[in-house]
Amino acid sequence: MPDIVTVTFKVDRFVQGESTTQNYAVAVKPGMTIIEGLLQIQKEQDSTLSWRYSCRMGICGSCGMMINGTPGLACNTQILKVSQNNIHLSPLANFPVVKDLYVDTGSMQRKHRDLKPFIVEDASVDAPSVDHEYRQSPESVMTFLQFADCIKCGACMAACPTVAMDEKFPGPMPLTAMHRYNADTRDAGFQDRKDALENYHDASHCHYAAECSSVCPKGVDPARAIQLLKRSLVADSLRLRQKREPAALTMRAPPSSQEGIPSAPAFSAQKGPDKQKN
Amino acid sequence: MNRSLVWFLSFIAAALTLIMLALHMSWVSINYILLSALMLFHGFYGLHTMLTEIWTGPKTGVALAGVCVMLGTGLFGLVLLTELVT
Repeated sequence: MPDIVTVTFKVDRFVQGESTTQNYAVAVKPGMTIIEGLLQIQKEQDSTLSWRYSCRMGICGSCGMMINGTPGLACNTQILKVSQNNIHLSPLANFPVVKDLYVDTGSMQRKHRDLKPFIVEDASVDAPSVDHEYRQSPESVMTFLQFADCIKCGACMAACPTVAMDEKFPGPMPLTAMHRYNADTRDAGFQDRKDALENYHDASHCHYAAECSSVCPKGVDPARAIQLLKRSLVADSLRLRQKREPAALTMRAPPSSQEGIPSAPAFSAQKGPDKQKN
Repeated sequence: MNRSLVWFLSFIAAALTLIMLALHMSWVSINYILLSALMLFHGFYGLHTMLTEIWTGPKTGVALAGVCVMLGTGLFGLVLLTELVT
């Protein structure tokens, strides 16, 4: 049977305008994550403890919090790898606290939305029909693939010293998303995003502390994305930005050529029994 | 002027300042008026950036830019006067 260690969770609690720090003793088994510790506290000691979580596997980005002063995900951080004695948990920095460890990420989501985090199609080119798709080379995908791994957890925003100071700075996550779509060969929205950025302090306000990259739980490098974004914005100002050819369209591969790819199960491709009656 | 371009020019000004200071230390004669202009531009751009991050009001950036341009121009005028008179 694995050794069980008692670790003290010092949790910053914030309820109805009052802030306190509460200690909880948690029996920790090797491999146990912080979210499992919090669930144990909620089940056995204090059902009023609040935080946000969903997938518990580092995909949804909901459970971001400060773990011993560093932003991270509670679901993919093992307790004993952080400390054998004490763990201090506090809400993500640079966000307003709703309750305990639960913060309001609305400002980050608004900035993200404003910078158009989606593919903007070229208005001068006809939209592809359903039997066509954009062609992308592996090389062109590699220019943005790592930035597409972002799960919008807000850890980079909590670590960024400029976000802490400057509310008009979009922050690492929205700027990384901006670069990710600018770099996509299927996209024609560079100018739209540049115009949207006029409402904020632009990428040049990033002082390259690079804390965002060091804390990202998915290994994304937002600091690099912002430097690449700065370069493209300067090149565009000097009219040196390379005009990209729109991605070529190609016919979708017929199902018979998709060797090795299993077909969809019948129950998901057909209508359900109650719909068939209609 | 485009914000990204001004930011880039402040970098160019810093690089040129470093080169001119290096030349100055090796007893090569340099143009001090140009050096002052580069240093004032780089310095006031940095000051403006820092202040706009602290005060983020809707008109603050423009007002601070005006103050920085006036101060920079005034100091540059003083440099010109000193260089040309002495």
